[in-house]
Amino acid sequence: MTKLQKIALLNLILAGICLVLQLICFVAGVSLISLFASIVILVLGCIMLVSYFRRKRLVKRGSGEYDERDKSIHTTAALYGLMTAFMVYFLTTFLAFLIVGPGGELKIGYVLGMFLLGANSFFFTESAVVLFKYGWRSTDNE
Amino acid sequence: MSNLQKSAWFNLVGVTVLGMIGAAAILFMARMNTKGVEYVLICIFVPVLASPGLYIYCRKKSIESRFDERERVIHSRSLMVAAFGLTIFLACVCMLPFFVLGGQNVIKVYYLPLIFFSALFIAQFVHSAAILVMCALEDDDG
Repeated sequence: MTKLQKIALLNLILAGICLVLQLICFVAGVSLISLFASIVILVLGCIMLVSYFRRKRLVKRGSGEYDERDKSIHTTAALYGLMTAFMVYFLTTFLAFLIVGPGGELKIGYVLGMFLLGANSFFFTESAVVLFKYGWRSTDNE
Repeated sequence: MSNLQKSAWFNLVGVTVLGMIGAAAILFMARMNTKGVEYVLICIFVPVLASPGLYIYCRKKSIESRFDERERVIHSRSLMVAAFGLTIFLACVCMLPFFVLGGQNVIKVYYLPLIFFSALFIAQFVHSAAILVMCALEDDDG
């Protein structure tokens, strides 16, 4: 497994945990559980950000660890991730609109939650697509 | 005018018109405070809004098949710019009210689809504008 695959796997696990915690936050509402979950999400988000910059450093380093094929895979994965994030945002918006009704009101915290759900979906799908494209458990990239 | 530029102008005009129709439909439903059986109205509006979108998508695909290599590069670059613009817009729209008004304040639910349609419009606008700017810059360079 290359460094890029390891980073993708780490992101996949962290984004998966974040998604579960966010669902708990949505269900629990305003409580100590959701506060604790939000703190954990923040910490995991920071780790994902660090791994993103680590990947950027690998990209800058050039030829040995990041070639044209890697670039193509990551661009495709980013596009898939964006599509998923946008679909998730659309679905949550549409569901809120249908359940509450246009005249209803929603807490602003939930709007931010919807955005974070979309962002996590992006990381989750992007990492999954990267791993899928490289081939799960493959040792060489040729 | 190249195929890419024609496609950009077509998308710009199409999305502007669709955005205006969508916003008008949402404001109408919000004014009527549609509930219960009136969800049927929403179910009618969705395909009405989606069908021109599908038409644009199909038409776009047929245009994109005629792009040359240079146009494809510009297209993919502008797609990334649009994705970046979309992310920044959504982040600002979702985070600013949270930090300014606080998470416990409420907003009307009909703002959510308005935000969604605005995001779609911004993404398409940035995409088309980026294509036109990049084409103009390339033409200037000769």
